[in-house]
Amino acid sequence: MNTPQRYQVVHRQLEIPATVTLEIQAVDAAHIAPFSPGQFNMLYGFGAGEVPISFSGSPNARQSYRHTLRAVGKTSEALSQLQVGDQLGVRGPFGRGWPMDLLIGKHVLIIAGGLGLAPLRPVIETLVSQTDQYAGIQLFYGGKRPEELLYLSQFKTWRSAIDVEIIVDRAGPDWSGHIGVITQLVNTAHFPVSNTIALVCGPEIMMRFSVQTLQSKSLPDTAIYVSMERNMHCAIGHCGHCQWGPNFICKDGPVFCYDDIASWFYQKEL
Amino acid sequence: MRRENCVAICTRTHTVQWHAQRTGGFHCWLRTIATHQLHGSATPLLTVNANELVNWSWLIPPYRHRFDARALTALRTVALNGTCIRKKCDIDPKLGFDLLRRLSAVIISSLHNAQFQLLDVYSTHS
Amino acid sequence: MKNMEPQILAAENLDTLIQALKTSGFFVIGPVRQEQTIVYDEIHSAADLPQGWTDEQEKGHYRLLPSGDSRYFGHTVAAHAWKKFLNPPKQLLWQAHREQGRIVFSPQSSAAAPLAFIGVRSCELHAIRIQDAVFIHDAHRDDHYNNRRQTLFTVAVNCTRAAATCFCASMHTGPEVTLTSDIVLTEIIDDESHYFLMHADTDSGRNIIQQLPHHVATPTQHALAKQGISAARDQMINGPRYFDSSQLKELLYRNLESPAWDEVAERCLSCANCTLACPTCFCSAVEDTTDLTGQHAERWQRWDSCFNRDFSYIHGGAVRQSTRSRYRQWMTHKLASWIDQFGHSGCVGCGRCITWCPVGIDITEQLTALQETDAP
Repeated sequence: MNTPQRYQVVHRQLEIPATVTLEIQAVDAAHIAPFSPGQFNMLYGFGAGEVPISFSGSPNARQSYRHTLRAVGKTSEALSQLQVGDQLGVRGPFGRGWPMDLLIGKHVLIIAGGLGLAPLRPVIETLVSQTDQYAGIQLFYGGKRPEELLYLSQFKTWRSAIDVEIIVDRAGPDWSGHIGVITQLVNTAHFPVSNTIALVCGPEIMMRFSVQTLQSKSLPDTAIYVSMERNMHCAIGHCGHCQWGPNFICKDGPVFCYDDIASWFYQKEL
Repeated sequence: MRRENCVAICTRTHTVQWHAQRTGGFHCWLRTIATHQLHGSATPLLTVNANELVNWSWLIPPYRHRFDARALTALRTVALNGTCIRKKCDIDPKLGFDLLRRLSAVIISSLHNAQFQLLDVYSTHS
Repeated sequence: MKNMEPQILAAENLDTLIQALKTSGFFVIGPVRQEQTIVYDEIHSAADLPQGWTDEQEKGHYRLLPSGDSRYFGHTVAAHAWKKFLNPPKQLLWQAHREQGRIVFSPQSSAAAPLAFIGVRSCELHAIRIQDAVFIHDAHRDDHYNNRRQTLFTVAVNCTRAAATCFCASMHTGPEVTLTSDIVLTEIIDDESHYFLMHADTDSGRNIIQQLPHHVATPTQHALAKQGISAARDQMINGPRYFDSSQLKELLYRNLESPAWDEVAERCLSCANCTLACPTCFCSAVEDTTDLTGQHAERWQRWDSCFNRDFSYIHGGAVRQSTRSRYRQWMTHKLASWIDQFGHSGCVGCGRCITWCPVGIDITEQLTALQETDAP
């Protein structure tokens, strides 16, 4: 698990400014290890370092992985510059993902903020491909501005299968969607409290507000899942960087049932 | 959402545009629009949900509204005469207190949302 | 030969043990005097051991003093922990080359001579077991660590004296060696005779003992060994650092906002000494580098510390900005969340963090401070 495998970029898509989706294939193997939505890979840019990036493609794709990443530091900057044919190192899959098995038969609320939609796209693609398995599917997606929303071209397809609402903080006059905060969408959502599971992913502050809103609508803590993020070096529970209370984000998470982490969720500088 | 529940309160000066309703459902969203842009079209600020106030300027001096509103989809609004309500509240303080108690919850929620919007909550996740 | 009775090894024959280990192919490491402290380093013979020296340890204080006797192990825990040999402070994990856009990764092999540790104390055996839980028995195994660990030979020594900073009696990790060690020694000076009571817990230990001049111990010699260990325990039980460790997790978890953290944060320099001296702290960082040509890259792993500001760095800032939060993380992890993570405490009561703190912060005093403001 310590030495990366060689992968090659086979497709590169600029999603929004400074944010790309790389589709990568193993160089030395015909197949890739299967992953669960919510898990992540460690992507290594030659000489530039390694960062954890969630899977953002369909888990049914058996030839390649897709990762959406934003250039926010030296390593992610180098990775985001990779072009088709370029090689990179990959370790993974790591971590615990979304509770896909528990979603069967449930009303599923997917609440994503900003780039937090990327780790949820594998969930959406799974759900969209078998909508009859679920009591209902709603996607609430919040972003700063319309031009910073991910995967807009896919929303049309998703909308034919699931209920999608988008909200932004700021927009121009030509924006016909919602303007405001994501909790407004959650607040007005109708879902059967006793048969709903909510999957929440985004910056911590956005997840906190979303969880509070879900709680105010009487959704139990056991039905709320969040995806956490911390500094990560090894991804296998050895380096200690991603500790968060008793949890190692890399191996106990990144996805947690809110009920299991409620006592840590509001702790500052933990 | 049921049609009966879709109550928005606005002053008479608001422009409410009626749009075709979307697939099956009946979406009750108003969008307030700043009216005092120097150039070009107005900037949308906020989507107002059912059972929320579009405007509460009529409640507090100097009773001057600053924003306009536009309905994006078919909706039902209740427009109230602010001057008349204020007079009734002056005469009947119990009514006034009750009204204020209900409206302040909506106003505070709206204020919290506005503060939340300023936090730039989507910008740190990668 | 099974269940060997405890044997006696005369002190003048201690070197035969070291030579037997060397002959068996081990790289032998034990306590040596260096820079006026006792550290663990390579030893070639018994003459390298700090015979006749003892240590004085207190908050932010360490002195080596002549012991006035001829004990080889008259000191207590060394400045170093054994972890530096099992999990080196800096190690190369792999190298990579780039040729015409293609990357070739070459993992670093960890093949090296097996290690033998002489003079491992009970708390230190516990510390090694605690790191085993992280690097071997958890979901993922560290092969480099595991390779060194599987071939490790330990000669443990029972403590017959406690330093003032020792609190293994509180953490139930000593002073008597109770975990498996290939060989266990108790050093005894009885009037004019100087010898070691010794027994083996493993076949490899028994094989080594067979190569040494030895004879069966008398009941009196047994009793003397027990007395020595009891004396060390009594020193701790009657000292100021004895406490009940049974409810520490609950104490720490319910006191994450205790004013005691603010007080200690005013003294703590965030220097990371405690984490480097600690025999169980395992955190590491990786560094990816390239050479000047940009075609050769390496990944190095090095010890890191939760006291470093960048340890929790994410998206342009550290999560744990304050010293208060970093000290809290260290102590809460060590004594509380470690239990949730691995089923046991991360503290073995060796006292190194007390001795080597430059401002004399004492983890046992911090527990008292938390208890004083605790409202269960």
